[in-house]
Amino acid sequence: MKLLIVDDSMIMRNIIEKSLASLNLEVVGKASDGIEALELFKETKPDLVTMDITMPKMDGLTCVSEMLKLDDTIKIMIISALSDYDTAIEALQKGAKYFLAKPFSEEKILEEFNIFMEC
Amino acid sequence: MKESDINVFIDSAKNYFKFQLQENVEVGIPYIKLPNSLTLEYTGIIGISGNHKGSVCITSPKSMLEKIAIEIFKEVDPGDDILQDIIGEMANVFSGNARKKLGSNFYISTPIVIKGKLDNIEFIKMKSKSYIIPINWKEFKFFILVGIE
Repeated sequence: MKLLIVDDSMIMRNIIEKSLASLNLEVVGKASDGIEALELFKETKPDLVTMDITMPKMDGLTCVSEMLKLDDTIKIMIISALSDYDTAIEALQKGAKYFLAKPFSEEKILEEFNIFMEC
Repeated sequence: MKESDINVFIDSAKNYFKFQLQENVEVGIPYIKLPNSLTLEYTGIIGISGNHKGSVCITSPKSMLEKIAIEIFKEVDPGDDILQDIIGEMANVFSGNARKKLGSNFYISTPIVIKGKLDNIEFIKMKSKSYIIPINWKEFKFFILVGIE
């Protein structure tokens, strides 16, 4: 399956990629803001997306809405430091399938991602 | 912001080190920020708006960020961009996690990172007190500056 990773932190993009390496996903792109994410999304047509929220140019929740307009079957996991309940609910209402709060261990994201893939 | 709300940033810092880095930190006693508070070599700043207004800063020595980059994130020869990324992300997580207690109307900006020591960092036009939280990790000391009303 093809994965697109979206986070404005380079370290976080690398951590997510490394943590999920055992799942043998093909990382088709890594974006640092919502605008870049949309461009890569159109180009690479991923099956799965991980999405940060607080990013420059276009925030993650707006990007989720835009991606779903292009492909309403896409599965998006939000990975964000905004760990309050209202944000998680808003993300799911916008169409994300899963929410993981930062900070997380490698084991945690792998465990949660396996559940996300089954959603 | 109430004085007790400082704890939310202490908890965020402890959780970040515990879960993201698998490390423990020791938190010193927070104190009221005095004039002429120095910053260290890298400072991540998050602007706060919504029900609260102000900023949260994390200031760290370069050597600490290098140790995190090399030993924890396994970066070989981390450049400036990596060090700035690390402190920016720390500031993002410490502030973002505060929403759990301070509510979803606690809006955070994307991080701004400043490289270089400042003789002083001042939260201007602040009606309420600002606080400094000293934190020790291994042989390093870094600080969270909270200036929020």
